[in-house]
Amino acid sequence: MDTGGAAVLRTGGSGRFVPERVRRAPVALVIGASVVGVLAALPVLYLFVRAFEAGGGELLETLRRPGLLALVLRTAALAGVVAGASVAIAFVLAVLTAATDLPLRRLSSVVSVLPLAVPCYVGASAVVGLSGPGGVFEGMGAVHGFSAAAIVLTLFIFPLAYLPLRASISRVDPRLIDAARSLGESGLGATLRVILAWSWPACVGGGVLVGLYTLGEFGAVTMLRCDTLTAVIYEQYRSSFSRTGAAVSSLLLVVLVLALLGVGGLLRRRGKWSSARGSSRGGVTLRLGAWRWPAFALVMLIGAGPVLLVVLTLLSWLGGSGLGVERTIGGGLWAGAATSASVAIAAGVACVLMTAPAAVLAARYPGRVSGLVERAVSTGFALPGIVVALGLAFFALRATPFAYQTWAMVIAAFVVLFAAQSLMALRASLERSPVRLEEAARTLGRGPVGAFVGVTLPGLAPGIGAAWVLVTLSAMKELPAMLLLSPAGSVSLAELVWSSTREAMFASAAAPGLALIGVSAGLVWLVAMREGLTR
Amino acid sequence: MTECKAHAICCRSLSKSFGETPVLRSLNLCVDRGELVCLLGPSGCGKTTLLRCIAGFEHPGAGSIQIGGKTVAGAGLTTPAAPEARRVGVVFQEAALFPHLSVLGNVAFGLSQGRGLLSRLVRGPGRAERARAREMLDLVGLADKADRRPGELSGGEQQRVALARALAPEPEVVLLDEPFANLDRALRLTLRREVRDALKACGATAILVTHDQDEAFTMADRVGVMLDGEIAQIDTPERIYDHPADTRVASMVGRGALLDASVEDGGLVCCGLGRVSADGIGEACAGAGCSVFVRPEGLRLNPEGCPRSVAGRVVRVEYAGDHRLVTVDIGNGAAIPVKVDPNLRVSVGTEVGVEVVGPVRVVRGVKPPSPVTVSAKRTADAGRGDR
Repeated sequence: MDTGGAAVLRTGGSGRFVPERVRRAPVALVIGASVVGVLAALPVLYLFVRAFEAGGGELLETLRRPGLLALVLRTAALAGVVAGASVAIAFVLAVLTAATDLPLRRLSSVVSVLPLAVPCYVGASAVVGLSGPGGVFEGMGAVHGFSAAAIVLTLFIFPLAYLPLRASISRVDPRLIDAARSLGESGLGATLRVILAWSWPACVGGGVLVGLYTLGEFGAVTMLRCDTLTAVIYEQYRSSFSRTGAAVSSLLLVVLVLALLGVGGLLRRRGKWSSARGSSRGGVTLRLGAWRWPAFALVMLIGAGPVLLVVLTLLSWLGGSGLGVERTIGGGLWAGAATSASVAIAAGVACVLMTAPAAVLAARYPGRVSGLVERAVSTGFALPGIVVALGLAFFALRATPFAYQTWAMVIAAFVVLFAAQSLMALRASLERSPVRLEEAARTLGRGPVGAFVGVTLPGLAPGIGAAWVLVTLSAMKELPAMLLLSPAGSVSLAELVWSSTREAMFASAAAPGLALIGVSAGLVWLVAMREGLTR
Repeated sequence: MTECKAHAICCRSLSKSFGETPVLRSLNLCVDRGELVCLLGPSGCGKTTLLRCIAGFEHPGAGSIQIGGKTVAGAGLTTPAAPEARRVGVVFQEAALFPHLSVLGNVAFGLSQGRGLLSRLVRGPGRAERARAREMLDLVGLADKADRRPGELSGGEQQRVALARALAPEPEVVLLDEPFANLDRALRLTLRREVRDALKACGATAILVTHDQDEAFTMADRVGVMLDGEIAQIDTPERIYDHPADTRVASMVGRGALLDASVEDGGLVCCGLGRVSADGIGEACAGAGCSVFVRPEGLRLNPEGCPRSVAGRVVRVEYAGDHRLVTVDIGNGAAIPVKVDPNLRVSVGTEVGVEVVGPVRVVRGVKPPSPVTVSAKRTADAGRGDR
């Protein structure tokens, strides 16, 4: 078989030489790529096995458990409300920052993604503390339950919807707005009838992203006492009595994920149009007139307000707590930081190494195998962390007991959860590096591997760096998989925040919380750079 | 400011600058109801800016605009009327159809203004709106494509939909900004005819902007030649061609040679092509300098040494099917285009004579801008030297 990198040339109908696109991939590459695909598919497959091996009777009994339906409905409702509210906020901010003469547009764009710098459970920790005894909002009664969770989640994850919306809206052809205005539509009418309709697929995509995140959210909902499926899965697994129950609940969560993706597909079909070519000239600029500064204030309020509130709260706990700074920062914090950092760094390296073959396959030999692998990997991305962790735990307990509750398990879970990020970054950078260069190197006497290493690899360094940083930062923030899989006695930063808040020891949540905000800020900075918000 | 009820559009002393660069310079333009005016000009002459000012996408720095007798900008109006309040239809160079709506939805877009915003946003076009949209699609011959998406149409079809969309709300005036520029030649020819027919069938007033002289001449009731932010001449195509107002218009429209000349008695001028009779001398005294313009079809190619002709050498021969354009150097590298029968075989380097048979016109202006006229000027100098 042809394992070469050089394109086979043949004479096309026009008489010009055209390169043969379809080539067979090297076997080693296919195998390498399949490993990450299989790993990504493993947790869900094993959950099925675990849930059904107990037999139909136990399965039915678990499903008939009182309160389960209410729990499923609450989970779905929370995802729906948070997704809807996030898309609404994100649309307003995206229009303001991408399609108007808002003052300080670059600053406004960055501030619009700033909330991502606060992990939801850190935000929730601050809110719980503020409303608790001695907190600023003490008199207002305890802030918890469904609406509190919905508000906190919306405020800190709407940027997930903002990013695709802004990208979409900045591509709207300004001529479309001109055409709408000349047809008698007002500025507001044109915004809604043209921009909203144009960016509808991005609205749905962003909503699905937010919904998926909400379905998998664990830390914030448990702190705010709005129990969703994730909380129940955790309790069932920890209590050890109901492992089958945990598997069944996990599958219910997977069903919700599928339902959300299905609804997204249906909604997107309504707005489907072919040839959605963007504008090549500059984007739309609606004139805000007297509303310029009020609009700017609104963006700052929504983007920076909650972040400032959380950071100031944590700082005040750090400084003014009765516990004293030494005790807060001492022992647990440094150990937690070391744990988080080393696991995250290792997860980043593992992810890049494991997704590299899949990325090369997808970029250079697109076909059925690469499609399957990509789908498996993106499934892992859509799954809640707790489901992946549980699936892997069941698998380890059965097949590889020696690996149970080792760091290898944690890293495997992170690979499943974050491989998609790494794969996308690597693939994008591979696609930017032209095959022609490799072909030129081949004609100059290099072998296929030599050509790749000598010509393509040096250009990939930024892509590899981006993939590693993305995965590392995401892994630092991760909570439920860490809680479920980490070896006994070890505590990460995320776990510190969670357990301290649960025990109302807010002062000890402050330092790890701030450290996590620092990590997330790095992530936000990366995302903002890549999306061109800083330009 | 006098009300201008007679005209559909009236622009008076319109000026506009982008930063330090003036784009429109005190421009005046009036268009009658039902009239189709083509603005012809090179790129950068301000014609698109003029359209955008009329549509309300740009605001003029000075001057006033009236549409249908109503002032929409300038003349004491503190803020110019918004585009949506002007009743102006626009057809852009790239059709700018709404990609998320069907062809019918696009045409019906401007028909729902009577309804509330929520209703416009959520509900599709009503029965009356659909009927009107179908009527307009019929007019442009696309009734069978009503349910297609814009992305599924060819470039020419997209432009026809854009025209139907602009015409549907019965605007006071339709503005077309180089609507055929992105189409191939054959399509352009048919579309010109179809668009003109559709506009005339609606009795619409229209301004079409183009840099293509054929387009302007075949479509327009009147052609406005636009140069450097001003309308240099506005008249019927015939008058523009035969009686260019000045040297700039002459060199912009069609081919020909522009020669320096001096006025002599008895309606004669002396130029590089000899002593010839010329139109448009007017009050000029004998001996005064002027410019004369002669078209390729006003010249004849004679054998070398023929009387009444000026000697020259063929430097270029262009075959165009129904004629041949022979460029003759009549001294000092000066080039005069002559239109000849396509069957006349002339080769480069042949010595020939050029005779003036058609009208020669005196045109205003002495500083012609284009290369054609530079060479023509040298011709004239050479001619004077010979005599």
